[in-house]
Amino acid sequence: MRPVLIVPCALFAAAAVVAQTDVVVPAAQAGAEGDSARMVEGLGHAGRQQILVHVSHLAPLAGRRLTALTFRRDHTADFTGLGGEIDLVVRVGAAGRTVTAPSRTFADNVVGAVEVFRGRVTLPAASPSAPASAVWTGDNAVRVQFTTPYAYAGGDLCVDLAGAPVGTAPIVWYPDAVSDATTGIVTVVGTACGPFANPSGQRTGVGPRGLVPGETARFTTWGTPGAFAILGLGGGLRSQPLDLALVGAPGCTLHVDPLITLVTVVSPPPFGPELGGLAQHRVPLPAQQSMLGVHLGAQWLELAGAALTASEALDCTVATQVPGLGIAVVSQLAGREVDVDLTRAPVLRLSAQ
Amino acid sequence: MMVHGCARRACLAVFAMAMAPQDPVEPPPGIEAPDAVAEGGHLVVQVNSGVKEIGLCVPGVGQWTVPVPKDGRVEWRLPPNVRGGHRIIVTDLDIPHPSSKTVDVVGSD
Repeated sequence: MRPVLIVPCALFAAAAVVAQTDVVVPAAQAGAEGDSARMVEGLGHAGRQQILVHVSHLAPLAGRRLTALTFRRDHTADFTGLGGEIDLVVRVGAAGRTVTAPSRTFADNVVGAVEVFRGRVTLPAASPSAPASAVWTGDNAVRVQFTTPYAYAGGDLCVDLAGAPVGTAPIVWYPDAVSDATTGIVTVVGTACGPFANPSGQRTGVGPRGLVPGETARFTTWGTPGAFAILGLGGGLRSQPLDLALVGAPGCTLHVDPLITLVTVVSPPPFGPELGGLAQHRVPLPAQQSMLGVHLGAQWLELAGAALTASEALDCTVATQVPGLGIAVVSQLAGREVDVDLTRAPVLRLSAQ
Repeated sequence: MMVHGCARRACLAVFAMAMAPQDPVEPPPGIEAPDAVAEGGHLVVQVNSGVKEIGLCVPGVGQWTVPVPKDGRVEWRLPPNVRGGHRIIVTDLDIPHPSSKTVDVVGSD
């Protein structure tokens, strides 16, 4: 009598068809805590975040249907997580831009978006027992099961989340994240003259991690409320600083020959009159190879009535390499500006069948 | 009753002084800081938002723009002239409406 082997084979075949695959982006963080934490706008704070993922992270998912995504709680920060409920919409589509040059316009970053989830999600409160890192279950993670699977055909992917907390109780829930060391360099030159300089003679600043092609450098200064604030940007600093006593500003020095001048008005003092008001310019850096290593000089001048004062100067060098995460985050908190982050991204697990 | 111009300006000045420094309306989204820090110690601020620099302001002493490292953990050594009783305002510098949180400095003795 011939043995019957057809039915067991059919069972194995059926099991293979429904087998789930989990892919962690980036893969190295599947069982290891990332070196950072990064909020997902929409998860805990009202807003929207797009996560663009390079195809190199997604090879095991090609030809499969994405069925869920999961974020893992960060355990490196020194604060207690507070859970809560959020209303969330998740869309998935092909990335419309590369991960090194995403757009600040959300619609540009996704093609053929499919709404895979719309509903209420619970962010679990932190367990009172010792936190367990790199665990994808229980109160360490939040999983969003798609109501409509997404057929992933390959290529770069865009995961688009928009949400808001339910109610007004604060939610403190930060996903684990990874970071890239790519950064620019900022050196302070000289000292500020006039009021609102700190004990070190400084009243301006820019974060070096914003000096990356594709990101936005945010130049900020403190000053006299209502005064004109002029940001001068040049290709480096003057070899011979100019004494502004010549123009009625004794004790002030000009370090920059500006190629670009951006004018704004100093805000009312947000934290007390003795700290002054704030002036700011956001300078988007083009996502071009030609920006790598570019040298910039920056200095603010303030004109309050007839009184001219100057900040210290900032000697800035744009990053000399492109970030290597292969992930870009485009995000916006409700009522605020869109931000692009190429050097820090939440760890994400995608499930597929 | 019409208030004389000078008296009116004086009243407004007194009102402005009473209102300052501003108490924070909401803490900066994605930024966590303790409620208090010891004089001479380190203030640790965890920045989980996309901002690349934060402001640390001490009324009566000064303000600093501090860059955010890649892991989001800002460690700021309190300057020697920031003493017990001072307040440190941690802000995201988001113009025109910066969010902030106040940290009290407690004396070390």
